Amino acid sequence: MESKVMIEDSQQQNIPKEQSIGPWKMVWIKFKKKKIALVGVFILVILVLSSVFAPFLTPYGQEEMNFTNINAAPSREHLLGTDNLGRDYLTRLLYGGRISLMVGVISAFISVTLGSTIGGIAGFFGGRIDNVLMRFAEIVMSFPFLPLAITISAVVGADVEPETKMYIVMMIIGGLSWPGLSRIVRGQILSLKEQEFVLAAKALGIPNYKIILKHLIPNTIGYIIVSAALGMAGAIMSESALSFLGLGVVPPTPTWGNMVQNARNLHVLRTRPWLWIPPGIAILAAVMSINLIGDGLRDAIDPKSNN
Amino acid sequence: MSDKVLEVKNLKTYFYTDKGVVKAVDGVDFSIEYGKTLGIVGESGCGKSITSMSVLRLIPTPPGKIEDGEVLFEGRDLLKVSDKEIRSIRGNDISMIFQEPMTSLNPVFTIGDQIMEALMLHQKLTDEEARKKAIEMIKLVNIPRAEKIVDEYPHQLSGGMRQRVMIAMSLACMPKLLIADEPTTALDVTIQAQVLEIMNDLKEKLNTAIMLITHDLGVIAEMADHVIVMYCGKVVEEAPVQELFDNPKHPYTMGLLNSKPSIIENKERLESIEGSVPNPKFLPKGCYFNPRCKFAIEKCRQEQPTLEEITPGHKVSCFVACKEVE
Repeated sequence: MESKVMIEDSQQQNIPKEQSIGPWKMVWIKFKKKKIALVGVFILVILVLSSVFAPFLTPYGQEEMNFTNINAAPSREHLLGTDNLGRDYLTRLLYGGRISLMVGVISAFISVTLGSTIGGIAGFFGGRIDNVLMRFAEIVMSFPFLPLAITISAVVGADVEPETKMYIVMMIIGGLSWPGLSRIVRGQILSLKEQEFVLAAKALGIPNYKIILKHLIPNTIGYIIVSAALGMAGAIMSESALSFLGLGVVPPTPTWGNMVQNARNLHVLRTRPWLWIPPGIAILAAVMSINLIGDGLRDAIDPKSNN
Repeated sequence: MSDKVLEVKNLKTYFYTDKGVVKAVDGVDFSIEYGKTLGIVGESGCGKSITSMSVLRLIPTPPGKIEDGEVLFEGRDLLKVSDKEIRSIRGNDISMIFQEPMTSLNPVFTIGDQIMEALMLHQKLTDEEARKKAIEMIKLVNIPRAEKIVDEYPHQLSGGMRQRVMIAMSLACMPKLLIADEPTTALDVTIQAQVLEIMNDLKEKLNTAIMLITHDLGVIAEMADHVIVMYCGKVVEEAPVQELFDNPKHPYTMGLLNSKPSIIENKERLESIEGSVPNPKFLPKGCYFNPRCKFAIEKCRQEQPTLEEITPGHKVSCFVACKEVE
């Protein structure tokens, strides 16, 4: 008996402590290997930090006008020059990032919430519920995005405050982009619900909504995260497009989209490139970095890409 | 009467498919007493699992439907209670262990989370209490390093450990009845023995009744107090375990017992029951077993036998066997 205890003791000393690697840690380890995705993270972090800390980075206010100094070229006081109302353009770019990124995050959140709930319910209950929800998703999907978004924006957002308009834009983008994800989630759940752990959960008396939320959705979380990342990039693009057309967030609230709007004027396009190149680059950087992160996450989460 | 935890009367579960009605369970009666083990044996597809799932109303509807019968759990008919009530019974008063330990645990949650879930739901324990209880349960089913295992994921455990986790999960709320649907089929023999031992242990400690479904007669001999033999959705024989092994009456039971390997006799080939299980959509006329039965008489081809008590506690559904006794 004593010798057995001794053996156990010595074993415990010799064997190095095994670290438990959870699924998230595994994803992180694989994600770290993708250098290009890390570049994406780096760019995005810079963009987010610079817009969050905008008040500390520039001495000007976002709507502070100076009529004695309009349309100035980049200089030491105004690193990106000023616009036609004499507002510091760098300041507007930083504050614009707040709106653009926020629209991206919130729209993606709305779209992911709607998409995974609707897909989850359709997949889990099946039958008639599935039929109704999926036909509804197809109806939403069958309208071309931009014309519909423009119409809704024009009808709903005609006479509202710029602030409210921003939220309307988020809801339009989020509310129109969920069907793709909902179909993916539904398909996943259709196959997952046949697995025995769902029956086991039912046998433990766990209510349906908890089975969907706690047991099924987390199993599709990989798809949902990737879709959220790509959806966020898409939402930033959509917001820019709508704002560019004057139907998104309207001035004086700056966003990258309505700042690029300056390029619509041929004179500005030719002679004042500092008014449209920086917001354009900002949009490009944001969308590209988010897409890189999304791709990296997809590879890291997919267990089959094990190299 | 009051010592019966579960009483199933005339249970009928049918599946409505495009090609016809499948009578998976067709008029099954049995009962289980507190702290006893009821074994249910039969070939694949004879309705064992469907019977157990019907008890907890886990039959997928459609296509399945419980057509008739009563499932009395402590006097309450589970087929008539509301969805909410049945959910509060599942996992709390009656819980279930499944055949496949590999897929019965959710791959994205830690072992502890999964055991805690039922505890927090039914016993209203707090996070901390539930975690303590989970560790206690893991220890109870003889898994070493319980404090570490709670935070591990199912893929980090072996099949036997997972099955024991399943048992820990289903016993966490101290159910009055444990339904074990082929709990050892997917495990190797040494682990089987351990798992059975744990179940027997817990039965004694917690006075849990067990409904054990298996096609392994060895497991039945080891575990059960009372056995029912099913064939094509019907109970063909019911007896205390000793009686059944010593004195089988139904030709099907005899066939089953004959086809098990023995160390004492040195047989070249194992005996088998001639023929195969009939297609449940086209069951033969008369006794369902008659085409495969060596003793079949004319009456067997015309009429369906009913379950008759031939000696106290021993019931059989066979004309020939009943006549013999008379």
